[in-house]
Amino acid sequence: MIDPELLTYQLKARRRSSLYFSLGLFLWGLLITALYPAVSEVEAFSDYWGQFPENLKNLFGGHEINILKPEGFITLEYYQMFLPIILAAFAFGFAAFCVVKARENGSLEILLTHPMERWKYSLTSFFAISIGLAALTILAVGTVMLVSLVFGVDLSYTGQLRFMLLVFLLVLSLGSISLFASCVARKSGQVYAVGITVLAVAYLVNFLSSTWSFFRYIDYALPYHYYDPYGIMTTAGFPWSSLFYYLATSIAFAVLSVIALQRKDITV
Amino acid sequence: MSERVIETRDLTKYYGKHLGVSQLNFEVHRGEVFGYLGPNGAGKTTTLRMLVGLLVPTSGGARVFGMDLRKDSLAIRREIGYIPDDVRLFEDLTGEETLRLLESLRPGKPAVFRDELVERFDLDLSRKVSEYSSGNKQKLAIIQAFMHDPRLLVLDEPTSALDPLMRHQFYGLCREFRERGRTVFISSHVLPEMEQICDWVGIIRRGRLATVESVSELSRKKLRNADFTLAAEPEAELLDFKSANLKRTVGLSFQAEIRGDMDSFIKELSRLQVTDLQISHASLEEIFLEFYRDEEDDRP
Repeated sequence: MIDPELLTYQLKARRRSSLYFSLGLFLWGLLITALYPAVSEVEAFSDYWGQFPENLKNLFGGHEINILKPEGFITLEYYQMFLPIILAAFAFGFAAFCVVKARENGSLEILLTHPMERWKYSLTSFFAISIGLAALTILAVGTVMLVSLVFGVDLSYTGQLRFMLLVFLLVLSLGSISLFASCVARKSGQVYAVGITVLAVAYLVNFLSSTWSFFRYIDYALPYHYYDPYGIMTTAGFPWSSLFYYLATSIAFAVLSVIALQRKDITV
Repeated sequence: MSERVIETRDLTKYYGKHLGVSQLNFEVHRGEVFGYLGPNGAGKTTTLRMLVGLLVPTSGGARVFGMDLRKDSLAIRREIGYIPDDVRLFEDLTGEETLRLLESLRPGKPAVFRDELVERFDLDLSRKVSEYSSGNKQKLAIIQAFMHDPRLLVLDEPTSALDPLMRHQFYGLCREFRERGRTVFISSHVLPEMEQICDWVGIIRRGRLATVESVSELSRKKLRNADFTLAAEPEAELLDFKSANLKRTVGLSFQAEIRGDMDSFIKELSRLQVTDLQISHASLEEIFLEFYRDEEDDRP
């Protein structure tokens, strides 16, 4: 299914970028979690949030969020927007590197003239992106869990682990879409453009769907509809529809990537 | 006849509406060095890329070692060593890591010539590829293509970045591989060097194969040059040759570029009083230029 040597090469080639992303996520997770005990004691902060119009609250993660709870605060400041954007940026870069940048820098040409099936190249790239995203997700959420222990923040670890799976699946589906874009794009910039457009449109439609019912139907088809970090951390049941949607999207676009690369002429 | 290594049948490639190559038909046999000549944009790289599975033919097909280019691409690539036109390898890796990665992609085909080639081309493998000069990148590309002893080498302008000494090394290597029964399919602009190593040449122009002939046959029957000196100034109409283009070099000395039939030229020359005559075959470069002169003439 995958080529271990190619997988090692792709992961190794992204090590510097992974390091920068890890450092950023670690520092931001540390800062936000360490801030919570101090912020939670300031009543004005809660009042300030309470004065927000519902629409605006929806933009930042939903009006039902209780920011006096650690899960609410972390959702608002980190998990709702910042974390998916950072992980998605990593996924877009990785996906672009695997195919379209490799074509631009000539390495894809050399690799594909060796006896390696193209479908294996696509699947290996998909696995490399998955591993990279899994590592960063574990680091990001793991940092919050660890720092909450140090600062005595009362977070549900089960909730954190469930959220870890949710955000990983969200960005995996975005990574899979951008891998497909990488297989069909002519330039690496197009991969970022597709990824950012999908992410921005999904977020915007999700926000608009809380006000206009028309957008609700579109929202069902887009990734942010299935992303509810506060809900998954604070309620008992697991959102199976989210799991199914993200897995189906990831697999579908991985298969499309295989088909696209299989038929593509490799030109420089 | 020896084993057919490459056999194309009406091999055609279009990029949308733009023609890459059209209806290529040629054969390359085991142990031959086949030179593929043509100016930029003629379709050389397109042909080579189809042979190594990077481009999908629009129509027609090819067989390599008797295997179908579309159906058996993986098995064909097991037998091929390839050097791309524009060598840009893995910038993040060292030379050592690059060779190790590429060797790992050929299970069961150990890099038997790796160390010998590294020594021969005097390449420092400990440095990063991004730190290599273009010549060193070209050396690394040569080593990766030859190191696993492939049965067919597909080489796209492989000497463009090499200094004369390394070119000499490279052509020596090609000869050694040919002597060991390996086949080389090479495109190049360095025509005098191609003349030295090629058994056969294919000349491609505007995506179509103009000719495929052995180098010796091509030189023999195509363009010839004759330098001759006359005893006295002849009448003007006697210098009007139909079989050759005549050019006075100095005094009574002339140079003739013979086109086609040698017999006609000798008959026309016999009308003159000749004191000295020297006939030479044209170089591959002159033949190549002649083909493209014809192309210019064809244009409306």
